[in-house]
Amino acid sequence: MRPNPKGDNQLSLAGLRVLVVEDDYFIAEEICSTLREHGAQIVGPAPDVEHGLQLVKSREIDCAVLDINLQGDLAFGLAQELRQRGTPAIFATGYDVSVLPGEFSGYIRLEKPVNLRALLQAVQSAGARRQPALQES
Amino acid sequence: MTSDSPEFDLSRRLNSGLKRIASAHGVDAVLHATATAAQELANAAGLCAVPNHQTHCVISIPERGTVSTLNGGSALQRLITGAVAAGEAIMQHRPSMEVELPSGQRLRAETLLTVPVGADSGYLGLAFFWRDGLTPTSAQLTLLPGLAWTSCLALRAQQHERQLRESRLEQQSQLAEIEHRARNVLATVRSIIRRSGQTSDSSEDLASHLEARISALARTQGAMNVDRHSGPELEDLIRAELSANAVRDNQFSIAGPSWRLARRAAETIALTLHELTTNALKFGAFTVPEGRLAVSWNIDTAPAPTLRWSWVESNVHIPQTQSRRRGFGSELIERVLPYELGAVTRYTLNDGGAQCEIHLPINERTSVHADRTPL
Repeated sequence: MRPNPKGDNQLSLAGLRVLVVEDDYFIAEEICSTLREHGAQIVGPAPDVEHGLQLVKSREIDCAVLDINLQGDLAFGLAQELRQRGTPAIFATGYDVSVLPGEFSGYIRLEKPVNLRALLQAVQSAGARRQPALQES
Repeated sequence: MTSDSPEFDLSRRLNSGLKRIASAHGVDAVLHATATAAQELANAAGLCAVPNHQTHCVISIPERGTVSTLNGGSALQRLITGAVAAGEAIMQHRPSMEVELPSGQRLRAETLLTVPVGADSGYLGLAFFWRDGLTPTSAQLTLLPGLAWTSCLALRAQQHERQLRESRLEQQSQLAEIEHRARNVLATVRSIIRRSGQTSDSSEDLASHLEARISALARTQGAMNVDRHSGPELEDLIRAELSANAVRDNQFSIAGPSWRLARRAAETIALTLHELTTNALKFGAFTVPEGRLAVSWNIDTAPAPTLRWSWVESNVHIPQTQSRRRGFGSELIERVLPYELGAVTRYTLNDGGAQCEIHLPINERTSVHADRTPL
């Protein structure tokens, strides 16, 4: 009845701290439980940009899964904040790719409804790409 | 001034009109259905035409001569008669103005006539100008009414094209909105299926829950489609849910000010109402004829604008053994509403019936009127 992502047994997100920002409760819940089942540690989920920013500023994050349209606000400011910290992000969205600003054109983008296996793979590869933070000074 | 809709009926008429005039004057030209074409024709016929901003084509006569012959009533009369015969309204827009020719030469010209094209866009049309001291030939004079008519058609075609372009853009954005909405609804349906699967005991149970929940969602969509630019009335959502479940009128009361919910909020509230109604039918107020339900709400402005909504069942005995397990309904009330809408909620199942309170912050997520001061 539900998509079963447990097929990829070799796929492990153990130890990865993943921020989830998604305004739909059920989608957030689905994403979080899937990631948890594969060992990820969830930061959030946050329903809007404001809560998302609070988490970005206060918590250690290895990777983020962002919905672009958060109750009418766009998540790009949040993505920039993450980028400055060297934290990779994945966009999960119903939006056409053309709305992604150029600076995020290389980012992984998953279409809604999100394919959970693709999500797990994206989080795994993004988590592995985590760069040291771009420190000013 | 270009046309990219050659299939346009007006353009066809314009082309044939221009060609007729052109051939009558021995002009061999390839013409396009634009005001530029009228300009080309005027040039070819020895007149000088200058497009005057986007909607005007100014035609003057470049040779030297005397203007006195033109000021005679007969020349003007002929032009006006000709244009009126061609089915166009004629009026003098302003007596004179200064125009600049493509050569850079400036000339002061007299307006003979203008052809209004669009009433709502103010003055939009064609003006003919004579430079002081010039004399048009009689052939050129004959040409002018035809030019007035054809150029007028060109301007109209242009105007229609612009309207068509605008309405296409509007249509595209509506399609994008519909697609976005469809994706959201499908995402919600998917979530409902998944959660119902986790909270149902049997496949029959699941099938009936799913059907009822998706029907509740469909009713919300129907309510929203009636008025595309505003969300549904809270009261309508409640009545729709109760009447869909054939709840008798004397068993419930609804009281509260008019309130329109934003789209997403309406979906979640409708699903919540559905779960509350289903529970009342299963083991609450609607299991006995004397059971009652009072749904009411009011709007508080302080400390922050809040819609305080309550569902209170009474006159029913609910045994303590009644299962209190967390189902889809309690998940909506206790988790979804707080997460998505920032609501503060409380659900209690007492001996006298179920009670649910939802305090919904009033903002653009929850209300269509968030930008206005709540009453």
